[in-house]
Amino acid sequence: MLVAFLLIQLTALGVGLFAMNRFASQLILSDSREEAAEQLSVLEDYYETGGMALLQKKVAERLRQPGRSELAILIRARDGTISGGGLSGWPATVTTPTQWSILSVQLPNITHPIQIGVVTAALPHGGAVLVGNLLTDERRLQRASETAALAAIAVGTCFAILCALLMLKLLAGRVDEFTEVAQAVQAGDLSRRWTRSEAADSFDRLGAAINAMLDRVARLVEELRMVTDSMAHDLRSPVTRLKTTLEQAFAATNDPKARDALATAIEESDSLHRMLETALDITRTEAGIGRDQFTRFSITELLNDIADVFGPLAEERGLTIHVEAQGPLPVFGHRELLQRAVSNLVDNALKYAAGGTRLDLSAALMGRFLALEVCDNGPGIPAASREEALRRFARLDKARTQSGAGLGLSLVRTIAHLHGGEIELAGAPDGGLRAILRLPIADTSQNGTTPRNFH
Amino acid sequence: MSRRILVIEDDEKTAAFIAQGLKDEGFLAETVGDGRDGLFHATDRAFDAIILDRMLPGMDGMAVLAAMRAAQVTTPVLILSALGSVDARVSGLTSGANDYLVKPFAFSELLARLRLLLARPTGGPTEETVLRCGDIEMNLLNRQVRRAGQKIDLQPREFRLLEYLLRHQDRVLTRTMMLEGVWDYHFDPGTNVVDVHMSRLRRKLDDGFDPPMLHTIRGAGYMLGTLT
Repeated sequence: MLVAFLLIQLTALGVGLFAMNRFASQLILSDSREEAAEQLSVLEDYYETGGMALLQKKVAERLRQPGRSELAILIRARDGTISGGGLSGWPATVTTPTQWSILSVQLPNITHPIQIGVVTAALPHGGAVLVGNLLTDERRLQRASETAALAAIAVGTCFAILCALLMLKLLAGRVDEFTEVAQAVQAGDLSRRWTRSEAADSFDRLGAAINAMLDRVARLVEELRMVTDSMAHDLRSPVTRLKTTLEQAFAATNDPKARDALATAIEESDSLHRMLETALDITRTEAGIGRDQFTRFSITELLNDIADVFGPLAEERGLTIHVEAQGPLPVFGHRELLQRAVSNLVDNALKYAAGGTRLDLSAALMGRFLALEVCDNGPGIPAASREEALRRFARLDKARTQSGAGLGLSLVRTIAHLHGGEIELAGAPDGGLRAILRLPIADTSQNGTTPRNFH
Repeated sequence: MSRRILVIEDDEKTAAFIAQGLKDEGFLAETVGDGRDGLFHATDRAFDAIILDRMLPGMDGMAVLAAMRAAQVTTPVLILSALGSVDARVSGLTSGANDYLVKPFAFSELLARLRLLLARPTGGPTEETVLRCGDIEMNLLNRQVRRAGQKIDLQPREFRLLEYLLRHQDRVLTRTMMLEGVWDYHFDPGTNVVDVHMSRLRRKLDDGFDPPMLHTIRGAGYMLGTLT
C-alpha cells in the first residue's frame, strides 16, 4: 500500500521535473538559435544592398568587434573560397540552407571538442553564409537546471513519503472502522452497525451499503428463528397429541399384546420428537442463535459431570471412562450445547466402540485453542467414512435401529462452528476413534479466570 | 382441600387432556384458552399453581408471566412449550417460571413436576446436616450413609444421586427430573443412563434389607420412600 502510494507520487514528480527540464533546455537553446538567425538575416540584407563586397567588409568589422555574441561567421563565395573567421573551415556535415544544426568541433587553442550551433543561408548568386554560436554557456545552464531538478526530486521524495504515510494513516483509520464492524458481526453481534460520518464520500456510501446489508442479514436470521420456532410448534403439537392418545390407550387396556404394541409406539413417538428437536437445534445453532447465552465455565467440571452421568452405562458395556484435565480450564461458550456436544461424542463412542475397554475424555490447552478429546479403543471408523459420519442424517451402520443416531455428530459440528471451533474425527493409536473438538480460547484477561466461578 | 390448578393452553385437546388427568388425580382444574383471560384469572383468583403454554393467542405466554410477576403474583408457574431449544428454556426460567416442560410430554412427567412445585417450601432453604428416610441416614458432614445402622459405601456420584432422592422422598421423580436435578443435564441423552444409575444404587441400598426403599414407578420414573 505504502509502496504503491510512493510509486504513484514519485512517478508524477519525476514526469513533471523531466518535462520542466526539457522545456527549459529547449528555451535556452532556442534563444541561441534565434540570435544566430537574426545575425544571419542582417548579413543577408548587407549582401542584398552592397553585394559580396559590403558583406565581406561588414563581416570583417563584426569579427573585430569585442563582446560579439557569435563565435564564427563564414562566407563561401561562388567559387568555393571561404572568408570570415572563427572556424578553420566550412563544416562538412552542414548543408545549405539549414535552420539549426548542432555540431562538435575541435578548436586549435582548446583541448576538448566544444559544441556549436550553426545556421546557414544560401546567397542569391551561388554563395553561402554561416553563423555559429558557442553553446558552452547554454550547456552549463542546462546542467544547472538538471542539478536543480535532482535536488527537487530528493526534496520531493521526502515530502512524498510523508504525504503517503499521512494518507495511509487516514485511510487505515477509515478502513479499521469497517473491520471492527465486520469482526463484531462475525462474533455474533448482529446488531452492530457502522456509525455514519458527516462526509458524503465513498466511505460513507460503502458504510451505508454495509449497514443495509447487515440489516438484511439480521432480518433473515430473525425470520429463520421465527420459521424454526413456528415449525417446532406446528410439528410438535401433533406429536404431543399422538403421544397423549397412545398414553390414554395404554392406560385403558389390560391386554398385554396391546400394551406391548402401545409401549413401542410411545417409544417411537419419543424418538420422533428427539430427532425433530435435534434437527431444529442444528438449524438454530447453524444460524448462530445462542451466542447471547455464552457464559464462562469450567470444561474440567463439564467433563467430570459427563463421566458421572455415563459412567455406569459405560461400565455395563465393558468400558471405563477416564477424565484427564489439568486445572479448571475455563472457556467462554454455551454450556448446555457444549455439554450436549461432548455427550453426543460419548454416546457415539458407547454405540460404536463394541469390544473396546477404554473411553478417555481429555481437555488441554493447545496454543489459542482448547482441545477436547473423546477417544476410545473400539473398532473405530475407517478414514474414508469419517467425513460422512459428520453429515446430517448420515448413518454408517445401516443395520442400526436407534432413531436419530445420524444427527448426533452433525449437531456436534454445528456446535463447534457456533463457538468458532472445529470437530475432527481421527484414528486413535490403538485403532479406536478419536474425536477432537477444538475451541478457540477467548481473551481471558478481560473476563478473568478467578476460581470463584467454579465451585 | 383440593389444590386448584389454572391451565392456560390454547390447544383444546391438550388442555382437555391435562384437565382430565388433573381431575383424575384429585385436583381442581380450570382451563382458559387465551393469554388475556389467563392473566385475568391468574391475578384475580388464588390458584395453587399455574400451567402456562408459551405460545398463546391474544397475549404471549411469556408476556402473561411477566405481567403476573410484575403484579406480585407469586403462584408457582410451570411453562409448557413446543420450543424445546435450550435457549427458549433458559429464557423461560430466567423470566420467572418455576419449571419448564417441553411438548410432547408424558402426563406422568407433568404430574411429577407439578407435585414438586406444590411441595416447594415457602421459606428459605434450611441447612440440614442429616437426611433421613425410613432407616436410611445420610450424614452430609462426614459424607457417610447408613441403613439400619450399617455403613453403605457409595461412590461420589451415587452419593449425589441419593442426596437428591432423599431431598425429594415420597415423590415420583422422572428420569429427566433426575438428570436436571442431579447433573444439571437439560436434554434427553436418549439412552437408559438413569436406569443404570438407579439399578446400581438399588443394589447397594436395598439388597439384604427390608423393606425395599427405592421403587420403580411404571411409566413414570422412580420414588424413594416407604410405600404405605
